[in-house]
Amino acid sequence: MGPDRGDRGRKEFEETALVHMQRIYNAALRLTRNKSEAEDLFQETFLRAYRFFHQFRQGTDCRAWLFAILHNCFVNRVRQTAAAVDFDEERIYRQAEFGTVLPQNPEVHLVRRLAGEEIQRAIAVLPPKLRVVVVLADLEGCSYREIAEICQCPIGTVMSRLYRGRQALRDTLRDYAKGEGSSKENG
Amino acid sequence: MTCPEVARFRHAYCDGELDASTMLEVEGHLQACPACRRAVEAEHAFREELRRAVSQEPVPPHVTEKLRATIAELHEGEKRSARTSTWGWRASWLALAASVLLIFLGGLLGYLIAAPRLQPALNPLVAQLVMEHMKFAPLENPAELSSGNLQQVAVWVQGRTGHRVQVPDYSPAGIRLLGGRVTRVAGHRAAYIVYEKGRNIISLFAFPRYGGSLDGLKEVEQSGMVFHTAAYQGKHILLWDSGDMTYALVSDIGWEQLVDCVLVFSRST
Repeated sequence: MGPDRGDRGRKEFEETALVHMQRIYNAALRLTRNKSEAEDLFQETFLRAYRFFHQFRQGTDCRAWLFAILHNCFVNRVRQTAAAVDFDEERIYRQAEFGTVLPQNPEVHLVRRLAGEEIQRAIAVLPPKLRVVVVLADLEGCSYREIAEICQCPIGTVMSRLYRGRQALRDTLRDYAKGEGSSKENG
Repeated sequence: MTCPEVARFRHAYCDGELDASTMLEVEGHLQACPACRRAVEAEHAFREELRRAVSQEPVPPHVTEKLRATIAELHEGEKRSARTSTWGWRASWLALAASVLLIFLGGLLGYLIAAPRLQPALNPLVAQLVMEHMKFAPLENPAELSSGNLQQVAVWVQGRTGHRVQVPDYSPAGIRLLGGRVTRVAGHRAAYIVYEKGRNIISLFAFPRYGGSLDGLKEVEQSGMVFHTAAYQGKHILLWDSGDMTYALVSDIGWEQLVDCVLVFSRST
């Protein structure tokens, strides 16, 4: 049994939630590895949002609420589909020291040299927990607080994941630029 | 502020997440230190390039169409069920009489096994179960593994807890399986099966047979089974043993519905 709502509720959903389709679709594209997966994630997010729309507090940020649902659906997918993919594989990157000084920055040139497709692939092969924060912060412009609420974790965790995620992304891009792009994906 | 300190704050600085005084300190340092300034500029440039490289893609029309069509379908379904629930029962006096009787019996049953009227000491197990329930019930999706498939949830839960847990089918009582979680109860790994009835979440916990104190719970016998009941923070608990496991249902829905669950459960075992 779904929540009871009239035409007004549906219209409200259109005006409040469906206006964010573009943002959610793009975030779904970055989180997943292909379009059909992204489309499924997109559908699931909005259908869940529709089902739970009665829980959305009018006047609060619907985009952040939708991101939270998207995150939830994404986490569930990762957990279900990938026995082989450890959701906590971020520990691989834990040795990266928080706050080390980067060598003078060649990464900008890296991004310029690589095709958009390769960059998307580099994002897609980030460990899921790191991928989420990088997508939300760097591509969607969410604040640390928003991300903490979306991922239901402390701000400190957001910061360290973001640091490791960005670091890992740079490493992968560097590998791609050296022509070793596939090694990380398979490893 | 030193270079390593600035490096530590660099991401937060570029993200605009520093408090005003730290930001001023960082800026003070950047004025004086070309190396750190270059690092900050590079960070900004990297992000800009990243955003540019990963361009926005318009949502394909077939995706939006599919979503709108599904929502329209759901909406129609809701309208239909609202209509039948408003008018359907009125058409039949028999149905009306039956529901009144059911509500009465449900209330009576609830009354018979209701929480003790004298407020007893709080049992730690009750407190723990209610807290677990309250922690997850408000979540958008309380399950770690979302699945409506009994077998799949049972296998997943067994894999994660090592316990063979019965995942009862409560669907005849209008209760839908949402999935499973893993948690700890009374010092043991415990399965947490999540259900939903209407807008209410019903939590079923299963953990190795509980040998601790049941002080503060009321013992009730129903259809040959022994239950312990309690109420805390407006939530109701129903506890019983089966095999080498203890099961506990927690929900804020009325007693009669929890009783429904258990009767269905006992019939299926």
